[in-house]
Amino acid sequence: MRHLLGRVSARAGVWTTLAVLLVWSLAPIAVMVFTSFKKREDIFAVPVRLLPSSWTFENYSAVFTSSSMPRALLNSVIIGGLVAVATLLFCFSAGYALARFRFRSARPTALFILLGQVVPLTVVLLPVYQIVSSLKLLDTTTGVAFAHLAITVPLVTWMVRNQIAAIPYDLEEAVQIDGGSRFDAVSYVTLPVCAPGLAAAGMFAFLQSWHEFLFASVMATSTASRTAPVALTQFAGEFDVDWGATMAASVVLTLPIVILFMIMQRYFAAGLTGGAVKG
Amino acid sequence: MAMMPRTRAFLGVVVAAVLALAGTTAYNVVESGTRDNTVAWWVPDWDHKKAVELVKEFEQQHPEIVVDLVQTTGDTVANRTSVALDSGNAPDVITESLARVRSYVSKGQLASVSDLYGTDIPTADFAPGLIDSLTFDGSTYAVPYRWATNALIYNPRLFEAAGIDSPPRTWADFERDAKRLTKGNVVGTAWPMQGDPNDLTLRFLDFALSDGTKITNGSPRFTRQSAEAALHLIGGSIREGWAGKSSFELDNTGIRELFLQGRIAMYPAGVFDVDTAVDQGADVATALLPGPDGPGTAQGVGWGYIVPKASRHKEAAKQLVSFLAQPKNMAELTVTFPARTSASADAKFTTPQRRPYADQLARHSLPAPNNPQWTATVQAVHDKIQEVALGRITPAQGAVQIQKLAAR
Repeated sequence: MRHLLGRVSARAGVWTTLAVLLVWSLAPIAVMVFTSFKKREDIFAVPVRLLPSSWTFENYSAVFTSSSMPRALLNSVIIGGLVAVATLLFCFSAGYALARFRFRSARPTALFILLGQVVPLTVVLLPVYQIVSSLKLLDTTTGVAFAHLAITVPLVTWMVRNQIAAIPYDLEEAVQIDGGSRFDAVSYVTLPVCAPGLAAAGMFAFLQSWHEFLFASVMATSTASRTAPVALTQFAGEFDVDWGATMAASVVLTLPIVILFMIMQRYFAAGLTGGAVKG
Repeated sequence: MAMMPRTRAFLGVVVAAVLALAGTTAYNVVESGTRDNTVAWWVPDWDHKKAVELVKEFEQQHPEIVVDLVQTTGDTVANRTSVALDSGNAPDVITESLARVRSYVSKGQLASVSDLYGTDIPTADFAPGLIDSLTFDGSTYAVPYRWATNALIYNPRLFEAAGIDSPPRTWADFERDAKRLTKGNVVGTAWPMQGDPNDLTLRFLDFALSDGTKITNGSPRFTRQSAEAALHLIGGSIREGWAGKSSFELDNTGIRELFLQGRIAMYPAGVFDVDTAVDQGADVATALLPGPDGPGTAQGVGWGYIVPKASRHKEAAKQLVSFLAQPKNMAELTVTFPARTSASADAKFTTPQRRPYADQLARHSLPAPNNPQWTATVQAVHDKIQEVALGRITPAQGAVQIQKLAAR
């Protein structure tokens, strides 16, 4: 009996802890979502209420009709897509070389690439700005995507390197024994085997680009290349903040990522853990 | 050796991506090379609509110049301008906060615009001390176009209900009235302890300047007594209950919303809040900021036009700035007050609620400190004010610590 009581109370403790963590995690999201449906006077009502007293879509209407958010969302999708594709191209090449070729400076090179991940973004902001500027890519979606590569390339190179290192080289050798080239071995064996990992890496790159603010706020000077996180700041004017529109825009900004993650979470989890035991 | 289909596709994608990047770069290089007569002007969101109209008029008057209007946001303009100036690749004209001009000048990043001042743009036509605050070693580096300050906003209905027949003129009046007004769900006043730390520090400094603190070389030089009195007014008012404890959760927007709901009786704020209250038909009146024994001093803050030293079209840029500095155009772009006195005649600047603001600007204001060292201490000063409000330190201790921070 005592044993049973102990098990029940332990389970109750676990469930209570989980419930507290759930509320702790979801409360800000709930406030964001419900505030986006509140009227201006409702947001500052005293006493504070979570649910709107009357529901409104005015904030969403403001976001989609009188702000640069629709254009910014499109820019974010384009930039995120460019970053994901370019990251995979560059990082697959670099990751493959680091995993497969034995050369004297392989280890230092790999560590040097990872160094890019630990340097604060503000330190590299000015050099990246100057590179983008000298390429005449300022205030273009390509320029912002180029800047975002500085964030994604170091870590993704390591992710991909570990993925490839976990694939037995014997498989590639088999293709070459059958008369294929190394390129054929890569296209027919390595790429398909590490596809889930590459999908995860691509998604990681897309997410990094989607919510990045610092580089985008500096490289994109106008609405032509402004990304969604930067467009959020336009609801904070010189003298006041339109909290309703800010929250509505935040919901709009969050939703595509939640949907994307739900669709791809299987690949994401598999990709992140793939290669974890060998590297 | 023949390539297998999937390998061909893989290599094709790689080559296409590299060519696309190279093509985009080449296109942008060619495109930017054809814009020799284009003046790039960075303008924040809130001015963009009017700026489009003004640019159209300017281009009609100067057909040889094309203006590339780039819409920025207020929250990002500081960082963006700083990086652009540091990199040496900057636009030709930037609408910037005047508080940051000294910082850029100290790094030698701005072109002098002294030659623009003269018969068309006389320095005497600007708010007192304004041009001096933008002049370093004999050269002026910005042309201000909007200028604003805080004054007292109050709810006349709540004042009448509390038996108070006129707004407070002195700090003693302010405290006494606020205590009488604090009843039920109404508090006498509130302070913006959340949001931008500048908002709270600005109010603190207004009180300190009213009581003997001076501004030297763009930095405040606090007297202990004035800093302590200012801390008592802000921090002490919350401790004693005549300012709302909700101040800890409020930014400027929050205070305005609670004022509109009739829950805050009075507070120091800018003219934008008055316009909002008038638009919503709220009970609102305005008065000069109270001081120790008469009208207090408020800081003037504003925006202006700067021409980066790296600008490639300085002469055309200055023509644009000169055009924008004309009284009519200045009045068009201003929602607070124009920097030039001759532009203030417009009816929108002379409403009854705006008169105390005009008076505050003309007779009881001075330019806000703009030394980068002071700007860097604003957050720390804000935190000290909060500590006083929380009762962790006394106003006297806070005054000593703020003096030390400002003297660093």
